[in-house]
Amino acid sequence: MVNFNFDNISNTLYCRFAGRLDTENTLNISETVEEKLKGHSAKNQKKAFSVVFDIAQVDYIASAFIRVCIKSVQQTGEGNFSVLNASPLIKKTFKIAGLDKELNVS
Amino acid sequence: MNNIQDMADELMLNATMAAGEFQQLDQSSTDKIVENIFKAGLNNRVKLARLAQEETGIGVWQHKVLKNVLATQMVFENIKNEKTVGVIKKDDISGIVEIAQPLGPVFAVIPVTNPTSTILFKILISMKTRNPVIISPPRNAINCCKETVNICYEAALAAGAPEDCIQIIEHGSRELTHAIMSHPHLALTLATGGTGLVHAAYSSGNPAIGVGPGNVPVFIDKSADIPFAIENIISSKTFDNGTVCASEQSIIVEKAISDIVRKEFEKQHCYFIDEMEIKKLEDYAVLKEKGTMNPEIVGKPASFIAEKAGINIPEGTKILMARLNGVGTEYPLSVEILAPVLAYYECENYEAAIKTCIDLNFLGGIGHTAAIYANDEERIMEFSKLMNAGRVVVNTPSSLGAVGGLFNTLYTSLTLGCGTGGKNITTENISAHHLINIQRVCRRKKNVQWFQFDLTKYIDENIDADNILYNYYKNY
Repeated sequence: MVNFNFDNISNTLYCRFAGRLDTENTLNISETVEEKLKGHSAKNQKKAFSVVFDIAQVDYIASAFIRVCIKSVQQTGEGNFSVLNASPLIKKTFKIAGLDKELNVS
Repeated sequence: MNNIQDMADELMLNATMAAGEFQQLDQSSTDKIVENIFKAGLNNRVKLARLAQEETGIGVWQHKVLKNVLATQMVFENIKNEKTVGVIKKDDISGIVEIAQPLGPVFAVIPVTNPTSTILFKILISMKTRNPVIISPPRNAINCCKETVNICYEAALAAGAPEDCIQIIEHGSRELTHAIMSHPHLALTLATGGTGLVHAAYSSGNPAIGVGPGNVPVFIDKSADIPFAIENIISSKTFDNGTVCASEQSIIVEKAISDIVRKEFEKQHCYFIDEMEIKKLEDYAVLKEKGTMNPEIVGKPASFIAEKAGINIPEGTKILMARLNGVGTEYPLSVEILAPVLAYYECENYEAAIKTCIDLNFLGGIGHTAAIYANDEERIMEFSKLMNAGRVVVNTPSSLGAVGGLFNTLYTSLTLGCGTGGKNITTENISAHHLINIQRVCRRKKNVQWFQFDLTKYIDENIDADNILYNYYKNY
């Protein structure tokens, strides 16, 4: 089971996830995330904006979720996307994938 | 002899002839040679250490004496009772007999930071396994390397070793190194050195055992005995002026204990440089274009480095401490520096501290060594699982801890495997058992389950794996 919600605060879209982001759960949410991010495409923005995935409450991520992150950073443009509050284990997962810098994981 | 290939061929011919003779020796003759070399090396520990320090200008000769002791006495203790000739294991139940065969000629590349000790170590493990060895010394340590080889070779011959069982390249070049590494008669390169050298060894087409670079994070947990931790860190980081690749590179603490830790470092004669001084040290200690340490500072004392960087430090300063706010190329002092310089990180909480350790571990030190000071078993294990390190040393000076033999029961080694993260095949401390081919003589032992199983079931595609397994193990 995974929960997520969105907040739009001063040109920043916060996506907060909680639970286990395994392949199935990620597939269930990916369309919604994609939909939400459409408005945050680099092309559609005149002002500065950013997208933040807060995964403080996430204890597992599948590669499907990393793909969602990659898609998101492609959509928002590098520098406008970040993954916040990764647990040490999940941070290591992004490190091993070699994507911690590109996805701005902390 | 001018032609590089001729030189390589000559060295290899000598080595292959020695290999042929060597493989006729039994265990006791082999052990006699090893013991003689060990004693000769140990007897000359001080002379060789002084020579190495004088010639290279790197490190502290007294500490190099200890390195020579590790490379002889401790390595000998590890290997003296190991079976490395003929039948080394026999298991009547499995029906398998293991026979040790030598590899053949070994090419041993020697680093400038530990020249004499690495030679002693590599010669001992090669002789123990009846492999002739060709030593490739670094350019600026040729004399001490030649002296070490002469001492070992004389001792080997005196104990009945084959002629040319130990050779040294006196006039080396990149081309000759390559010609030997890729020579069809070479069995293995033992590559202890920089990334370029190790990569060349792995690309040669012959087997190689290499090492990886280190960037050792040291986490001091709030459960640690702080004065003890600092004392150990200082003794380790100042050992031979920080030349051991497993020496501490960064200290990571939680904010809650940072004041105590800083005061303790200061009390024990370490000096925290300010932001301006950090800039000066970065400019001197790290090569901007490469983002790697300036070779000039390797194995130099803190006073030398501070003077060169234009920093005034109190007399008697042991280590220069640089408080950093991040990890990566924007923070040049967060990379590996083989000298008494330590990066210092004060993190908001435990989780942030561990994440900083992961960042440092992955910044050029994957697979090497990580260290933790703690008295909380859960945290020790959590830290260990999160690090990608062949060795996680606990409440131990990391330089001598990783090398093994003094603070733990790891094999004493001057070649530390770093696993695939460091582009190596193993995470182990390399020793004699890595230098034999194990031949397995397998007696017929009928697999009863297989022979009683109805093999036609495999042909029937309607029979699934569960069904097959049920029938395979039925009545067992």
